[in-house]
Amino acid sequence: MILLVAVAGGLLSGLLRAQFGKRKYSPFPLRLTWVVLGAFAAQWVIFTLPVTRSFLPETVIRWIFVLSQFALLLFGWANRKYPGFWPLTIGLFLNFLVISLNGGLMPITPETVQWLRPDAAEGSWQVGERLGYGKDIVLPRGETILWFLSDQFRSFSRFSYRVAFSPGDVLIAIGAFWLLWASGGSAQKATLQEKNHEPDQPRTSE
Amino acid sequence: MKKLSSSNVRVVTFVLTIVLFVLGSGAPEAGGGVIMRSLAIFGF
Repeated sequence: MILLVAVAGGLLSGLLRAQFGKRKYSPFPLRLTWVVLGAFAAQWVIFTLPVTRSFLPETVIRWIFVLSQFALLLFGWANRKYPGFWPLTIGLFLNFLVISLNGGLMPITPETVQWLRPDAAEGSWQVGERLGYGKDIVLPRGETILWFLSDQFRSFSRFSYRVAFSPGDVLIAIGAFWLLWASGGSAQKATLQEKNHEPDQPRTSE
Repeated sequence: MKKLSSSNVRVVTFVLTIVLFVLGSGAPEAGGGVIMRSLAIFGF
Protein backbone atom coordinates (compact mmCIF):
# COMPACT_ATOMS: atom_id res chain seq x y z
CA MET A 1 0.00 0.00 0.00
CA ILE A 2 2.71 2.51 0.96
CA LEU A 3 4.53 1.58 -2.21
CA LEU A 4 1.56 2.22 -4.43
CA VAL A 5 0.98 5.52 -2.65
CA ALA A 6 4.64 6.40 -3.25
CA VAL A 7 4.34 5.57 -6.96
CA ALA A 8 1.13 7.55 -7.39
CA GLY A 9 2.45 10.48 -5.34
CA GLY A 10 5.80 10.50 -7.11
CA LEU A 11 4.20 10.42 -10.54
CA LEU A 12 1.71 13.16 -9.69
CA SER A 13 4.35 15.42 -8.15
CA GLY A 14 6.69 14.76 -11.07
CA LEU A 15 4.01 15.66 -13.60
CA LEU A 16 3.17 18.83 -11.66
CA ARG A 17 6.85 19.69 -11.41
CA ALA A 18 7.22 19.34 -15.16
CA GLN A 19 4.07 21.36 -15.73
CA PHE A 20 5.14 24.25 -13.49
CA GLY A 21 8.66 24.21 -14.94
CA LYS A 22 7.23 24.20 -18.48
CA ARG A 23 9.14 21.01 -19.24
CA LYS A 24 8.13 17.67 -20.60
CA TYR A 25 7.91 14.75 -18.23
CA SER A 26 10.98 12.88 -19.45
CA PRO A 27 11.53 9.35 -18.17
CA PHE A 28 15.06 8.07 -17.74
CA PRO A 29 16.24 5.53 -20.32
CA LEU A 30 16.23 2.53 -18.00
CA ARG A 31 18.32 -0.52 -18.76
CA LEU A 32 17.25 -4.18 -18.53
CA THR A 33 13.54 -3.40 -18.34
CA TRP A 34 12.79 -6.87 -19.72
CA VAL A 35 14.26 -8.30 -16.51
CA VAL A 36 11.55 -6.54 -14.50
CA LEU A 37 8.86 -7.93 -16.77
CA GLY A 38 10.28 -11.43 -16.46
CA ALA A 39 10.60 -11.25 -12.67
CA PHE A 40 7.07 -9.94 -12.30
CA ALA A 41 5.71 -12.63 -14.63
CA ALA A 42 7.46 -15.31 -12.59
CA GLN A 43 5.97 -13.98 -9.35
CA TRP A 44 2.55 -13.74 -10.96
CA VAL A 45 2.78 -17.42 -11.88
CA ILE A 46 3.78 -18.56 -8.39
CA PHE A 47 1.57 -16.22 -6.32
CA THR A 48 -1.44 -15.24 -8.40
CA LEU A 49 -2.22 -17.65 -11.24
CA PRO A 50 -4.63 -20.15 -9.62
CA VAL A 51 -3.54 -23.10 -11.76
CA THR A 52 0.13 -22.86 -10.83
CA ARG A 53 0.18 -21.32 -7.36
CA SER A 54 -1.61 -24.25 -5.81
CA PHE A 55 0.14 -27.03 -7.69
CA LEU A 56 3.76 -25.94 -7.76
CA PRO A 57 5.86 -27.47 -4.97
CA GLU A 58 6.61 -25.11 -2.10
CA THR A 59 10.36 -25.41 -2.66
CA VAL A 60 10.02 -24.41 -6.31
CA ILE A 61 7.92 -21.39 -5.36
CA ARG A 62 10.49 -20.23 -2.83
CA TRP A 63 13.36 -20.62 -5.29
CA ILE A 64 11.53 -18.78 -8.04
CA PHE A 65 10.70 -15.97 -5.61
CA VAL A 66 14.29 -15.56 -4.48
CA LEU A 67 15.65 -15.75 -8.04
CA SER A 68 13.11 -13.21 -9.27
CA GLN A 69 14.19 -10.83 -6.53
CA PHE A 70 17.81 -11.37 -7.48
CA ALA A 71 16.89 -10.47 -11.07
CA LEU A 72 15.28 -7.26 -9.80
CA LEU A 73 18.48 -6.51 -7.90
CA LEU A 74 20.41 -6.75 -11.18
CA PHE A 75 17.98 -4.27 -12.71
CA GLY A 76 18.48 -1.90 -9.78
CA TRP A 77 22.24 -2.16 -10.03
CA ALA A 78 22.21 -1.59 -13.80
CA ASN A 79 20.30 1.67 -13.28
CA ARG A 80 22.02 2.90 -10.13
CA LYS A 81 23.15 6.15 -11.74
CA TYR A 82 19.59 7.45 -11.91
CA PRO A 83 17.95 9.34 -9.03
CA GLY A 84 16.22 7.15 -6.48
CA PHE A 85 17.79 3.89 -7.55
CA TRP A 86 20.12 3.64 -4.57
CA PRO A 87 17.28 3.55 -2.00
CA LEU A 88 15.26 1.36 -4.39
CA THR A 89 18.07 -1.16 -4.71
CA ILE A 90 19.14 -1.11 -1.06
CA GLY A 91 15.52 -1.55 0.05
CA LEU A 92 15.09 -4.47 -2.30
CA PHE A 93 18.38 -5.94 -1.09
CA LEU A 94 17.18 -5.77 2.53
CA ASN A 95 13.99 -7.60 1.56
CA PHE A 96 16.00 -10.09 -0.49
CA LEU A 97 18.33 -10.67 2.45
CA VAL A 98 15.65 -11.40 5.04
CA ILE A 99 13.66 -13.51 2.57
CA SER A 100 16.70 -15.57 1.56
CA LEU A 101 17.81 -16.15 5.15
CA ASN A 102 14.36 -17.31 6.20
CA GLY A 103 13.72 -19.99 3.64
CA GLY A 104 12.61 -17.95 0.65
CA LEU A 105 9.56 -16.15 2.05
CA MET A 106 9.08 -12.87 3.91
CA PRO A 107 8.71 -13.52 7.66
CA ILE A 108 5.78 -12.05 9.52
CA THR A 109 5.08 -12.59 13.22
CA PRO A 110 1.90 -14.28 14.48
CA GLU A 111 1.10 -11.10 16.41
CA THR A 112 1.18 -9.06 13.20
CA VAL A 113 -1.03 -11.57 11.37
CA GLN A 114 -3.53 -11.41 14.23
CA TRP A 115 -3.39 -7.63 14.12
CA LEU A 116 -3.96 -7.65 10.36
CA ARG A 117 -7.04 -9.82 10.61
CA PRO A 118 -8.31 -10.07 14.16
CA ASP A 119 -11.42 -11.83 12.87
CA ALA A 120 -9.43 -14.64 11.28
CA ALA A 121 -10.91 -18.07 11.76
CA GLU A 122 -9.19 -20.55 14.03
CA GLY A 123 -6.66 -22.62 12.12
CA SER A 124 -6.73 -20.48 9.00
CA TRP A 125 -3.00 -19.87 9.42
CA GLN A 126 -0.28 -21.61 11.37
CA VAL A 127 3.09 -20.68 12.76
CA GLY A 128 5.88 -21.95 10.55
CA GLU A 129 3.62 -22.18 7.50
CA ARG A 130 3.20 -20.00 4.46
CA LEU A 131 0.41 -17.48 4.80
CA GLY A 132 -2.14 -18.60 2.23
CA TYR A 133 -0.73 -18.28 -1.28
CA GLY A 134 1.19 -15.11 -0.49
CA LYS A 135 4.84 -14.17 -0.08
CA ASP A 136 4.86 -14.42 3.71
CA ILE A 137 5.70 -17.09 6.21
CA VAL A 138 4.44 -16.86 9.78
CA LEU A 139 7.44 -17.02 12.10
CA PRO A 140 7.84 -15.95 15.73
CA ARG A 141 10.33 -13.16 16.23
CA GLY A 142 12.71 -15.46 18.09
CA GLU A 143 12.89 -17.84 15.15
CA THR A 144 13.34 -15.16 12.50
CA ILE A 145 16.80 -14.35 11.21
CA LEU A 146 17.24 -10.56 11.03
CA TRP A 147 13.66 -10.08 12.27
CA PHE A 148 14.09 -6.30 12.18
CA LEU A 149 14.14 -6.50 8.37
CA SER A 150 10.87 -8.43 8.20
CA ASP A 151 7.32 -7.07 7.91
CA GLN A 152 7.38 -5.56 11.38
CA PHE A 153 5.93 -2.10 10.75
CA ARG A 154 2.18 -1.59 10.90
CA SER A 155 -0.05 1.05 9.40
CA PHE A 156 -2.23 3.20 11.64
CA SER A 157 -4.75 1.02 13.42
CA ARG A 158 -7.55 3.51 12.91
CA PHE A 159 -7.61 2.67 9.20
CA SER A 160 -9.82 -0.24 8.31
CA TYR A 161 -7.29 -1.37 5.69
CA ARG A 162 -4.38 -2.59 7.79
CA VAL A 163 -1.01 -3.29 6.26
CA ALA A 164 2.34 -4.54 7.48
CA PHE A 165 5.59 -3.58 5.83
CA SER A 166 9.34 -3.88 6.21
CA PRO A 167 12.20 -1.35 6.47
CA GLY A 168 13.13 -2.36 2.92
CA ASP A 169 9.65 -1.38 1.75
CA VAL A 170 10.15 2.09 3.25
CA LEU A 171 13.37 2.57 1.27
CA ILE A 172 11.70 1.28 -1.89
CA ALA A 173 8.85 3.75 -1.38
CA ILE A 174 11.32 6.61 -0.97
CA GLY A 175 13.25 5.54 -4.06
CA ALA A 176 10.13 5.13 -6.22
CA PHE A 177 8.86 8.56 -5.21
CA TRP A 178 12.25 10.15 -5.82
CA LEU A 179 12.68 8.57 -9.25
CA LEU A 180 9.23 9.52 -10.50
CA TRP A 181 9.55 13.01 -9.06
CA ALA A 182 12.99 13.52 -10.61
CA SER A 183 11.66 12.62 -14.06
CA GLY A 184 9.65 15.82 -14.02
CA GLY A 185 12.58 18.13 -13.38
CA SER A 186 15.93 19.28 -14.53
CA ALA A 187 17.69 16.80 -12.26
CA GLN A 188 17.87 14.28 -15.04
CA LYS A 189 19.55 16.67 -17.43
CA ALA A 190 22.90 16.31 -15.73
CA THR A 191 22.52 12.54 -15.49
CA LEU A 192 21.68 12.20 -19.16
CA GLN A 193 24.53 14.47 -20.17
CA GLU A 194 26.87 12.38 -18.09
CA LYS A 195 25.50 9.20 -19.61
CA ASN A 196 25.73 10.43 -23.16
CA HIS A 197 28.95 12.36 -22.51
CA GLU A 198 27.31 15.47 -23.84
CA PRO A 199 29.25 18.71 -23.38
CA ASP A 200 27.73 21.47 -21.31
CA GLN A 201 28.27 24.02 -24.06
CA PRO A 202 27.89 23.49 -27.80
CA ARG A 203 31.19 23.21 -29.60
CA THR A 204 32.27 26.08 -31.74
CA SER A 205 34.26 25.66 -34.89
CA GLU A 206 37.76 27.07 -34.81
CA MET B 1 1.36 14.03 -33.30
CA LYS B 2 3.51 10.98 -33.87
CA LYS B 3 6.22 12.42 -31.63
CA LEU B 4 3.71 13.12 -28.89
CA SER B 5 2.41 9.57 -29.08
CA SER B 6 5.94 8.17 -28.85
CA SER B 7 6.62 10.34 -25.82
CA ASN B 8 3.51 9.06 -24.11
CA VAL B 9 4.52 5.48 -24.78
CA ARG B 10 7.89 6.16 -23.16
CA VAL B 11 6.22 7.60 -20.07
CA VAL B 12 3.78 4.69 -19.78
CA THR B 13 6.57 2.13 -20.24
CA PHE B 14 8.70 3.89 -17.66
CA VAL B 15 5.94 4.09 -15.05
CA LEU B 16 4.87 0.52 -15.75
CA THR B 17 8.44 -0.68 -15.22
CA ILE B 18 8.63 1.07 -11.85
CA VAL B 19 5.23 -0.29 -10.81
CA LEU B 20 6.23 -3.84 -11.72
CA PHE B 21 9.55 -3.40 -9.91
CA VAL B 22 7.71 -2.23 -6.80
CA LEU B 23 5.18 -5.08 -7.02
CA GLY B 24 7.99 -7.60 -7.27
CA SER B 25 9.99 -6.12 -4.44
CA GLY B 26 8.54 -8.39 -1.79
CA ALA B 27 6.11 -6.09 -0.09
CA PRO B 28 3.00 -8.00 0.96
CA GLU B 29 0.61 -5.17 0.26
CA ALA B 30 2.26 -3.93 -2.89
CA GLY B 31 0.18 -6.17 -5.11
CA GLY B 32 -3.08 -4.71 -3.94
CA GLY B 33 -3.32 -6.64 -0.72
CA VAL B 34 -1.59 -9.95 -1.13
CA ILE B 35 -2.05 -10.81 2.52
CA MET B 36 -5.72 -9.98 2.40
CA ARG B 37 -6.25 -11.99 -0.74
CA SER B 38 -4.30 -14.89 0.72
CA LEU B 39 -6.44 -14.90 3.82
CA ALA B 40 -9.62 -14.52 1.79
CA ILE B 41 -8.91 -17.89 0.22
CA PHE B 42 -9.63 -19.44 3.59
CA GLY B 43 -13.08 -17.92 3.64
CA PHE B 44 -12.87 -14.82 5.75
